[in-house]
Amino acid sequence: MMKVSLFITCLADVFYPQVGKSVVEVLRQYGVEVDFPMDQTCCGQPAFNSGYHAEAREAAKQLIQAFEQSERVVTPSGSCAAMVRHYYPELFKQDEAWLPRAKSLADKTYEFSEFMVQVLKVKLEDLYLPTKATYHQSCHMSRGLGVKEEPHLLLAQVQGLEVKELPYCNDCCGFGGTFAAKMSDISEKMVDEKVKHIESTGADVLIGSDLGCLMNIGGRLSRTGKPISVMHVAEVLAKGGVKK
Amino acid sequence: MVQQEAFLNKLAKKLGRERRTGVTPPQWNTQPYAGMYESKTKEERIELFIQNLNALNTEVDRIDPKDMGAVLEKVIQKFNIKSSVLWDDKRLHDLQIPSTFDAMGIDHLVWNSSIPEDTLRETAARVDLGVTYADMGLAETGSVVLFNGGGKGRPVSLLPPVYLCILSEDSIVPRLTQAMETIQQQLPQGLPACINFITGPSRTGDIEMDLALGVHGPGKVHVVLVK
Amino acid sequence: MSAHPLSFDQRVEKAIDDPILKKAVPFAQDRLRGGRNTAVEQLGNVEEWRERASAIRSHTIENLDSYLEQLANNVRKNGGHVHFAETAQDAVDVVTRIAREKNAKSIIKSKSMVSEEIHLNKHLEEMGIKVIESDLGEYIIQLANETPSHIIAPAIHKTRTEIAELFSEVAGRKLSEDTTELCQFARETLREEFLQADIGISGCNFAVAESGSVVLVSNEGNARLTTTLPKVHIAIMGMERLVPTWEELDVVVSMLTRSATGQKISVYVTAINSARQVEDLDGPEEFHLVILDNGRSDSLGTAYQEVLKCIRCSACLNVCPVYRHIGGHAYGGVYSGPIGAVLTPLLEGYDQWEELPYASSLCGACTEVCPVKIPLHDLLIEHRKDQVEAGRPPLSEKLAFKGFGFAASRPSVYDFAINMAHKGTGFMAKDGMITQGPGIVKGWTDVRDLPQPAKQSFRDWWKKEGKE
Repeated sequence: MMKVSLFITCLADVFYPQVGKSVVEVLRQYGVEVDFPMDQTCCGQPAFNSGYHAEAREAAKQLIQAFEQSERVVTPSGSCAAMVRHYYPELFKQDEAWLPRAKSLADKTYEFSEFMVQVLKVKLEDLYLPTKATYHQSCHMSRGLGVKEEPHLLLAQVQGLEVKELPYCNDCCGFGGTFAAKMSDISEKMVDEKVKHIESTGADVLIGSDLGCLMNIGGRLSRTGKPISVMHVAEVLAKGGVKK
Repeated sequence: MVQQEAFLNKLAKKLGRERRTGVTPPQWNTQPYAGMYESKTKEERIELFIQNLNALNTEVDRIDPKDMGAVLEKVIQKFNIKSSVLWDDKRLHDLQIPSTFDAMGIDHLVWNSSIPEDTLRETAARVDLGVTYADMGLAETGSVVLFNGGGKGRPVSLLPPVYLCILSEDSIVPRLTQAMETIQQQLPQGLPACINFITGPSRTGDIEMDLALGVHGPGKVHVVLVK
Repeated sequence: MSAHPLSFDQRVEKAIDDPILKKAVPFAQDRLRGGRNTAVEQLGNVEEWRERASAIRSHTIENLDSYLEQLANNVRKNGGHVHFAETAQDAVDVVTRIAREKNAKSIIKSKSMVSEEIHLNKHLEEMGIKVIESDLGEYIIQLANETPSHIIAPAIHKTRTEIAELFSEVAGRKLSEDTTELCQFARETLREEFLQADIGISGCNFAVAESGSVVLVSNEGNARLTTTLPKVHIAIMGMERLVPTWEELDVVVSMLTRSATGQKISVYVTAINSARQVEDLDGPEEFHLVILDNGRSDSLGTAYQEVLKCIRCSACLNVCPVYRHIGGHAYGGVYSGPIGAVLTPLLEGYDQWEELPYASSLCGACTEVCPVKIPLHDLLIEHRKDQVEAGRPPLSEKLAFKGFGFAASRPSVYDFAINMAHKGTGFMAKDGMITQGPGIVKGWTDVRDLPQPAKQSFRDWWKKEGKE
């Protein structure tokens, strides 16, 4: 039996626990044994991106330790996975003791859809969710991790789910961590343009793989009173469990 | 020269090493453009050259040398040409272009040292058409390559509003790469003061991204490929 | 360097709701990036091209002293004059000295970002010399007394109505807003200037060390006129803008035009190898090459060395979502967009430009298209790191991240904080949403709702029931 440790990420832990539960549910459904190391905290990306690299290193060490015994690590965030895979080795490149440990975590960490498609190679069965949706491709997942097709490959297997192509899908939604708060006026224009494109698809649901983006876009949709809800890919797979 | 030494020494210091001199580039083992056009026949290269220029609003005639007169007639009509300036180039003389212009009553001037420079320049700025012979054509882009110098004056392909470029279809090479090789081969003898790669008419998008031709260089270009 | 009259926030505020920018910038971006995408797709192996272009540029920068020496020697061998300028003032001094020696009355320029960088026009005009920009976009903004808002399309922020007004003023008659008529007017007016100018000043897209050549890329032909008609030609180059040989030139030129406008090649690629030669009947009698450092060398040997690979194609501007919404002027410096946000603080320091590295969502679109693989968004993070290490950010931010580091390295503290999040925010939330937050959250809630932290965190759920 394949064993996986869930790296929940702060946003899912605090704001979207149902996404974490969905990941657990889906993984178990496909025969994966899931555990959750309680010592995990944050990957350190907020500090890293803001230039606080000493603090980012403290967080990174904690995460490395928490998952040291894990065979594989799966996380419902392309951004956090990119942080671990791409920037952890960078953060410790001068540190002989920690570099191999950082690389080891980097090598065994997967974003959820990436894991489902590339490692588990699942064929989804009996999924049905009659909804018109569109998919937001997050920047760190597509550019940082190079994972673009995997979510689409999963969603395409959900019967009844119509995924409309999102115009300007390569453009950032304006989240950018502290950018959204620090440069909120610029971020507002970015998220408004994203909302405009989402609306143009006629979708009722926006699906994504990064809760930062979904919190940003969802928050703007809510503020401007648009009746479009947001969902993580894992939620779609968990929810669409009943075939009619 | 002291200034140069100080300048370069500072760079070496910032780079954290001793001064270097005589460095040559590494041997690049692969070329990203290798194979792009290798499989193309001469005929395919010529077609590509023509296609590329057509896409840039530039007509290309492919002719037998004996039909040069007819093509000139066409160009003169098409662009309403009354006057011209030409390179003093054997290849143009061989095609009897100056004498054809004479016969057609086109006021023309050949760029050579028998004429005062001021007159050359004023003429180039005034006439309707400039005519040159290109040394190479590049299939990938539809570019013509001009090695200027002496009787091959740069203003000829630059100042008049219409530009006629003639070249041999044997001189169409796949792309920039072959032109660069040719230039490198000429290095020991020294390069001319100016080499031009010209690809279609002068253009700009500086007014609301709206394409306009001929803002500085010739807005109309015609190319003749001679068999 | 004089300070910008407006602060970064003021510049953004001015730009962000400007109705002209709102239309013009996304329109220009879409055209240019669309062209770029098509042009690189045609290559079929763009990653291989980028690798090569990057390797060429890295090798050149790593051996900059050697290649500059070779370039200078070859320019002199060809009869040209070489001037090494360490500072902007040094470069200005060289040019003004030549202008004085030649008793120049008028100077015609083709587009040069380096000359913008050293504010050359201002200095020449102070000497009573007439300076005319000949690139159509540069000419427009010169008439409007503005600065470029895009590296290759300097006047994208101007409407045809504004341009017609500017030109009409010069013409002394009313011109229509028709593009062809406006261009024809510019052609005739500038042609006169070209024929009269005493000196032509150009930039340098690439110099070629092995032959002492300066290569200029242009679509309008103004760079050709600038380097053909006046008796003296001065080329000003940033010291990093060279390649070893013509073989490398092939790759970088191919990448430049494709990345900039989506053209397989620009209309004109002009190599100036010397002043006019004995048998020539045209061309400048004198050629000067000014090689400018102006702070660039401070990036050598640091993480920022990568930025010297830049070939000024502006592909990063054309994909940048921040540039899309604020345009070029809000950046405040000569170079805008992601490359400007990285480069300007390097050339001119943090005191005036500390916000620029934060004007990015770190989406990485810039890095993805860069033809020479500069890790632009990583260098923005590097700038943030350097500012943190220099103690520049406000105390509140420092304390917040100290607290973050403390909690993130202590699971029990972190656990406690996570599990308190719902209760702690209860007073702010309504129907599960926070619409007005304090502190840093305020910036967020000014624009969008924030979901209230869930009643039960994931970790709490796992502990109690998730384990099965």
